[in-house]
Amino acid sequence: MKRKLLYPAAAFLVLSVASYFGCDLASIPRSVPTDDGPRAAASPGEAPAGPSTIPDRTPQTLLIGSFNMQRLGPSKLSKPWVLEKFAHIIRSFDVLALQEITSQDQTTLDQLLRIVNSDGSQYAYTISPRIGRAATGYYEQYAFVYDSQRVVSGPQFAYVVQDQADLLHREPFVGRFQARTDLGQAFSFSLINIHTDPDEIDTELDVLAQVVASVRQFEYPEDDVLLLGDLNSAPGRLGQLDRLPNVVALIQAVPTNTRGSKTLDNVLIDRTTTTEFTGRSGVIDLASWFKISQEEALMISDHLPVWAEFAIVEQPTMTTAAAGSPAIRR
Amino acid sequence: MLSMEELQACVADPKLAVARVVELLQTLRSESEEMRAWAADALQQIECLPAANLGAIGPLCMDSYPVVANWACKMTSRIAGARSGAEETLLRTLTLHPHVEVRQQAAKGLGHMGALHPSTLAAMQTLLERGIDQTDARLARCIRRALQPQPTTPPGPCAP
Repeated sequence: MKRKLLYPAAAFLVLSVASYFGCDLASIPRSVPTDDGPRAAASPGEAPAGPSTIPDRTPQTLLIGSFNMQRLGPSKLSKPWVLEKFAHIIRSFDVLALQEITSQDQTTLDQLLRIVNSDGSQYAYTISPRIGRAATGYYEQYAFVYDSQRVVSGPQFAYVVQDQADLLHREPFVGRFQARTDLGQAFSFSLINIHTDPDEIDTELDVLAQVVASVRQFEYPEDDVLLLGDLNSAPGRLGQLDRLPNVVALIQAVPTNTRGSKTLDNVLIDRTTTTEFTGRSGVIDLASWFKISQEEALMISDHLPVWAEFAIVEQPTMTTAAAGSPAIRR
Repeated sequence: MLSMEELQACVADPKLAVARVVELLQTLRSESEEMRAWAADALQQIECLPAANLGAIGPLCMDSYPVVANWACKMTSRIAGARSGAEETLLRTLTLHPHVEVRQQAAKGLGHMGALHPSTLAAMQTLLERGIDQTDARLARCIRRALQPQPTTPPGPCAP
């Protein structure tokens, strides 16, 4: 059955937007690293890093995460309290993959980033086209929001995976990033942002394993390809994704929904190539982080942000290090 | 139609969503995409519906508005008991609804219902033999999946 199912997936074509070609991310000059230390956080962020919060950003590390915003549209945009909380969450990350932007208004993220950047931050974003099926009644957009003082990216470095066989409800959105640092060879990576359909999870998780393979091939020689998003399933129930060699889900046995009952969101890395992972990852418990009730946290989203920390400079891969010739590869 | 506050209350409380399932389906007719999205979210929370809902939801599977029909099919596949009625409803939609995404959802719904009646299986096999692969590969996949041997009872909270 798997064979039958996956055969059409082999025909997955990962096509980029036209503007992708001719743009070499590595050619973008690096900026002077932020040497003013970790960003000063508002009171909730001052808590020590632990399983329910997030470490401070440092000049040596990058914080990458994923957050399902649960229907970011006019209703939430009309609630300043919610927008302030979104802004605080975004400012805690260097790169944050977002899911469930459902607003038809294409200025939604501009409005949100005005609040994010009101403290002098310089966050920017890349957003996908509206994705989904007409008969569900709505479409969603993915986005990557990133601190442009710490990371280089942009719309020319992003594309939607083409799903000509219509195997996925929402085709993944891929973005390429490179850290800005003078501490060494800047960490570069590609992120596959996904929001699976809970009703098609068995099929979609297997197809996503094919997507990871296709994107890795397409992104070569980039070897740091991470899959992150709302998988609607926990590690051990990720189908073929669980069986990808050396690929590990960084969020294990921790609920990622606001009600604290399910692990739905995750960050998956190849531990042999993404050796930049520092070993720290977790979930931000919005209720304890913001010191609000669960009911109030649910006004923000029914999902919690997940995060993982990475070295800002490239590290030797496990295979090259094991061979005794530590070489740094993109 | 439900208000935004009522929709969000249904999202937060699946029991309320069950009680207001027909109103949620009617809210999918809203011109506001955001209202439709929240209504869909609330419907997605429903894992199982009492058999008594079939009388109200079943006819909506053939609704001319595809969004309503699509979600009605999904809800029909989550009706506990009244299996033969739900199965007939979905098979009729799979065979007759003019919108392809609704037919796909009907096939998916049948695939989620567990063991199907031999006449349903035969009807789906006939659809496949008409060459659906050539016109709609996704619909053909949904039907093939529904044709695969299923557990004798529906899984999860809808199990009798």
